[in-house]
Amino acid sequence: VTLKGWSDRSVLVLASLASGPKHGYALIEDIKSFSGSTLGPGTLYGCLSKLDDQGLIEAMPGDGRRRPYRLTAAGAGELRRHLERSQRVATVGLDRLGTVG
Amino acid sequence: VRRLVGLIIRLYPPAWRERYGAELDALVDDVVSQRTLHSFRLVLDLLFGVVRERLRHHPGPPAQVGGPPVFGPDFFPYRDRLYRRVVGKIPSQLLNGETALGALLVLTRFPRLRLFIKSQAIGLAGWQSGNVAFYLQQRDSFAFHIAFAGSWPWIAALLGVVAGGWLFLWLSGSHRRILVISPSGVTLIAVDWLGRPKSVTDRLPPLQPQILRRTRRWDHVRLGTSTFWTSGGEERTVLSWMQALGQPPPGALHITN
Repeated sequence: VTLKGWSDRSVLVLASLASGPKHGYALIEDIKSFSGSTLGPGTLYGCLSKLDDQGLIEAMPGDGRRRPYRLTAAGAGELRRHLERSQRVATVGLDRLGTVG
Repeated sequence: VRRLVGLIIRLYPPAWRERYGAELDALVDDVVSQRTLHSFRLVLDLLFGVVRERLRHHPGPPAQVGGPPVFGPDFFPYRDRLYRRVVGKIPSQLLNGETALGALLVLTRFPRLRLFIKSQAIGLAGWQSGNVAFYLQQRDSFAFHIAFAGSWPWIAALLGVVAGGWLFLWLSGSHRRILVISPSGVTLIAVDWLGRPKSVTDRLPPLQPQILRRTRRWDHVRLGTSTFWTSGGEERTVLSWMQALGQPPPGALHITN
């Protein structure tokens, strides 16, 4: 699976799930705590269903109405690749800003 | 607000709602009770979600190659076909009539035009409204899927066109203001709201309901045509899906009345 058209929200969801399985509301709270963004339920479930279709996350058995999701191995791999690439870009960008400054 | 949000969730595509609807509903309960989001933002977020999911292509389950052919006449009882024909025909005929009437109202503004030309133009307009829908249905393209895969985008487009035309007449001071309400649009919404007969899908093996779920509303698109009135839009659509999924087209697909 290759991530195409990745939005920031997908990265936020995957990054949140990297610390362990979570259901919808726990995801919203966790994402808010580390990024400051509050995802709406429609946005969150749009991301979850897309990532689920791509096989990057999977639903776990829950109490019916609240099902937790977890990262799959493919999802963890894709998240790692994406973050490493972002980190390289960020490092280069910050270095250059430092040089200019 | 909770009631409104519940209604918005019902606008999600049925297949999506079946999978995620209960979870989304529970999450909305949490968000509302904890006051995580402003109500206005919550409603907007869900409305955007509906549009996004309606426009998104939902891949089906993996093909079950080698399954028995199932699309025989037994799976489409006559009462279902009759129902589909009726609910498909009513809005289509109304739309044809509306288009013709719209042409009449516009042409009355040109008193010097000959009556024969007017009558031909009116007939052509009504006939072409059916033809356009028919050819759109035949074009099984990406754009077609985007526009017609769900019935709500189709209804929205129809209402935009028809109501827009009538609005123009209304604003121009026509005494036929009552016609601002599009009969075909209202009928389509009513049909969509009431839903489809379930007896067809209930009889089908696992893969076929997935296919039919995407095709069951196609009667809406078959406007004013009689070529494919045997089993709704399903005949061609099911063939396309079966081929796309790697299954040979079932031999018993063609149904006649």
